[in-house]
Amino acid sequence: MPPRRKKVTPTKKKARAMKKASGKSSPARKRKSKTPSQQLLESQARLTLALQSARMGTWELDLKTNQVEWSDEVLFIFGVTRKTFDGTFEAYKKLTHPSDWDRVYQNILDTLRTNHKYFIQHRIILPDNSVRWVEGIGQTIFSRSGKPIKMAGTVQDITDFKSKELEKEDLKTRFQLIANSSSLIIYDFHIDSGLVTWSENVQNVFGYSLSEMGNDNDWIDRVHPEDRSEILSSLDSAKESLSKFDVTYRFKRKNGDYLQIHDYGLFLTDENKKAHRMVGIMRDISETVRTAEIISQSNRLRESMENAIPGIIYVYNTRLNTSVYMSQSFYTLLGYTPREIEAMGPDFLIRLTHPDDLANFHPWTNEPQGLVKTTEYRMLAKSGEWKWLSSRDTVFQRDAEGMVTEIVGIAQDITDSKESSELIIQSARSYQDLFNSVVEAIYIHKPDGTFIDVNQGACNLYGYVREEFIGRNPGFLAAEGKNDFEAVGKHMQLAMEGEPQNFEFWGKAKNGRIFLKEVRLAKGMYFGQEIIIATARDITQQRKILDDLRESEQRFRILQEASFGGIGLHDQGLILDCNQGLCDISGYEYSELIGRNGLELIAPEWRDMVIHKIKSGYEKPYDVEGIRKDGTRYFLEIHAKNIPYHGRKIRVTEFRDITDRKRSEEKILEQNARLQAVTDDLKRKNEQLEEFTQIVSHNLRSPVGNILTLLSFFETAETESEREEYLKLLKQAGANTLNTLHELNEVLKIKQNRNIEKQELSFQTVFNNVKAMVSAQITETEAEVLHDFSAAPTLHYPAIYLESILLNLLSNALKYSSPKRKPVIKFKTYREGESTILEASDNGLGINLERYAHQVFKLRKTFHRHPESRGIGLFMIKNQIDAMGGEITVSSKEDEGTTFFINFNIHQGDEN
Amino acid sequence: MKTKAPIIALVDDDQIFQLTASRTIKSTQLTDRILQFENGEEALDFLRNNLKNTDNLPDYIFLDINMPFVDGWMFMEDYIGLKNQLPKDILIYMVSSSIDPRDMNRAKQNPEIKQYIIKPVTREKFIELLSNAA
Repeated sequence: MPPRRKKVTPTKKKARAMKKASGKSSPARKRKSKTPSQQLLESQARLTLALQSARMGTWELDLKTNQVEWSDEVLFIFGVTRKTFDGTFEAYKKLTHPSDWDRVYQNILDTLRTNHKYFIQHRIILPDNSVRWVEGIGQTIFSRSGKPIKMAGTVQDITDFKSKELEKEDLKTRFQLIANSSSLIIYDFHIDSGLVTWSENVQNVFGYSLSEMGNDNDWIDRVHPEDRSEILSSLDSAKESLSKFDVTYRFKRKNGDYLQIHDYGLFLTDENKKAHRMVGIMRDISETVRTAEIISQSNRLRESMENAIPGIIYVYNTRLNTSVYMSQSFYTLLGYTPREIEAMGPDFLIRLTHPDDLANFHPWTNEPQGLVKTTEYRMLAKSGEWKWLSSRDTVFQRDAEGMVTEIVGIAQDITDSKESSELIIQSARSYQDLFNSVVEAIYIHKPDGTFIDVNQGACNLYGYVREEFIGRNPGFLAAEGKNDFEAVGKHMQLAMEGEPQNFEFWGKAKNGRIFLKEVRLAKGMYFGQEIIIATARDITQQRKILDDLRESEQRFRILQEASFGGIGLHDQGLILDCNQGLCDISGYEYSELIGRNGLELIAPEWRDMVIHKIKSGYEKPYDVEGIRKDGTRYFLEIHAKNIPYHGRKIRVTEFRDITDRKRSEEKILEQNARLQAVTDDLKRKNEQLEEFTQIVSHNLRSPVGNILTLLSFFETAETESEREEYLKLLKQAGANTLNTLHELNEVLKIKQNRNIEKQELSFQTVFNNVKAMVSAQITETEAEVLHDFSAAPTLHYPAIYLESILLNLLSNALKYSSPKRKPVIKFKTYREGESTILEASDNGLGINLERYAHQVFKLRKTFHRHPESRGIGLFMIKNQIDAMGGEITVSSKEDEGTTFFINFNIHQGDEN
Repeated sequence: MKTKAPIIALVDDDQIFQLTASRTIKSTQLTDRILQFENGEEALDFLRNNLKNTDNLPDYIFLDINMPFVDGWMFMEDYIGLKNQLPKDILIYMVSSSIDPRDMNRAKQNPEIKQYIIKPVTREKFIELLSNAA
């Protein structure tokens, strides 16, 4: 609490003094600096008034004489008069509280040395022995030569001011009340002055009166010498960092005892964020500390006891399922550190317990005191192994209704004993399991034949329970009159001599069922005695199956002989058996086929496939080509199935000669193809017909309609000149009609004249002729015409058609060249399979195919504003190409160029 | 448009039809404001350039099917995109010599085409068409 007085740093002191000075006396100083003598007097009077009202006086210390000069106010503050106070430094010292004098004196010396402002708050003792607080402020006055000659300043009684200020604080009052009723000591410590205001209950707690409690220095003197340095350093660091001061120390009471004190203080800061006040609470915790000490002692005792016990002591909250307390041995036993356990969360016990064992714990309700519950369970040690623990729990805490809330218990490690007993149980169980899981009946006989044990299989076989066997002789299991007991006895005897025996035995079940079983006998050891182990299985069913199999084999043979196809049984290709049908199909004798590799019946190129099918166990029919003994081939359908046969998996394969079927299939396919071709051709013809309708509709009706209209105009014309005009137009219309008819006729000729004579043509020759025809345009457009017919130099085709095709393509390429670049036109031919292809490309205007694709090859369709566009050329050549079973397609990009592809014989071979 | 004589647009590549049709229309004395376009593209260009000039735009379009470059069908495709920007309604008659039912059906299915008319078109037919919608 209140600190040892720390030296206030000069700068801070100065700032404080300045503030005080300006706050209290600055108006006076201002006046002083103004000076006219009248004003001076006025101001001095005013200053005196002000000082009086503030209970403040002025002082001067002559450094030569050490004589002190006090104003009346100061004399009043110190409770002296000019008569009783002689003005010596000694007299001043006498009035100062002895505990504060060193500080006062040192402060004066510091002021002189450092030339800083003087500031101090200290106590004085008045002649009536009352203690008061004063605040002195001053500064050094120098001679002209710069030598200090005087100190002068003000002094103020701040006792009332301080207490008034504090009294006003409601908070403080409240604290006081709390403090008084709770034996808490509240203090308010003015750091700079060392002044401490104590709550009034100090007398009760410490025995000192309020004035005896004194200041910070008194406080530290009463702190136990052993605690002092530590407390001072924590106070300093708390003040520096403005953190809370929270310490315990021993504090001396007036009667000399020490109390254990908990001191908790907070710092208040000034405008510079420096601590200037400290408010706190001191609490007598002696009792608590003593209790804690006793507890810790008993804890130590308990811990050492617990550690001596070979088990875990714990307290467990059964409501929250959390551990309340756990002795150290828990960590040693399971190998975890307390931190690792903490990290697992509050339910660590549940987490560590084996899930299968959680059910072993019985819930607690309102069990009587002293009841002990024992639980065995496994817990996971850090090493990964499960530890078996045995817990003995009893009631520890109950709630108001008497329900158990906490239990206390001891857990002991029983892993070793548990494991060995577990091992025995397990091996016994596994033996029993094994014994019973064997389907076959197992009997354990004494050498005299009585049963020691039987398994579940034996019980199932006879319908008796285990207990009905034990101690009895096997005689009751025999079917009357069916067994030779003498022989059985002989078998038993031989078995005892170490020779395993195997025989058949007719048994009779509890329900009277008679059955045949196969019995095996062997000598063995059972829990230290010699015994005979008999195993038996009911072979009645097996016998029946064998009989059935024999019968079905016979049936199968009859069946396969009757079958039209060939049937073969083979094991991985090797023929085991076959029927006459296979002999007939393959041309081999039966004897030749048995033992032969079935693959030899298959044409070599199909054998890999067949091997694959055999290996993968394929069971669907598939077609191959077979080969007969004489080497001739035939179509074969194979259909195989895997079957078990005399304990093996073999394949039954049916061979079927499908030559006829195959032939008709091929014929159908061929006819289908032909049908498809006819259909395609019909479709094309239909399309052409539709197109023809279109042509007639649009191109022929239109001029005829015009003629009719013009005729009516002609008839109603009023003047001769009109009539002449219409006549001229009529002629023109007639000519147009004729022209269209001519064109249509050309097309019709193409369409009808499919059988036009074809001849072997050289692309090069025809192209040269065509180029000559358009040489004028080539020169005019300065086009570069390239060609490459090397890959397909010739074509069997009608000469006029090829000429027409090349001419139209070339003249189009020239006509629709781009004005932006030099025309480059390329013709080339090549073969693609059976087809001959012509590619004609240019770098001209191109066609917007998105728009015109459907019209490119139609009559009277043009795609460019060109005076010579008639929309005839492409229409004509398409008809020619189609008629010869070819196809023309186009690819183009606007302003990049166009390429036509002609496949001359894509449909060749179709029934055109 | 009742106060003013309607504007007719003939879109046809057939010079003789252009001549006879415009003379027939004029003879009806219903209008003598006739625009002539040789193909669809020319007509479309005209519409595009006169979107704001209501006075220049035709009230009727007589549209041929079979034309070079942009034919009647292609004209209709582009016209639909243009229609919303036109400040007035235009009646479109498809006029063709085709008696192909496929052409007739196709025209019928296009809601923008008012009627399909088979050439030749008589004077009476023009009167009927022009007074019908006026």
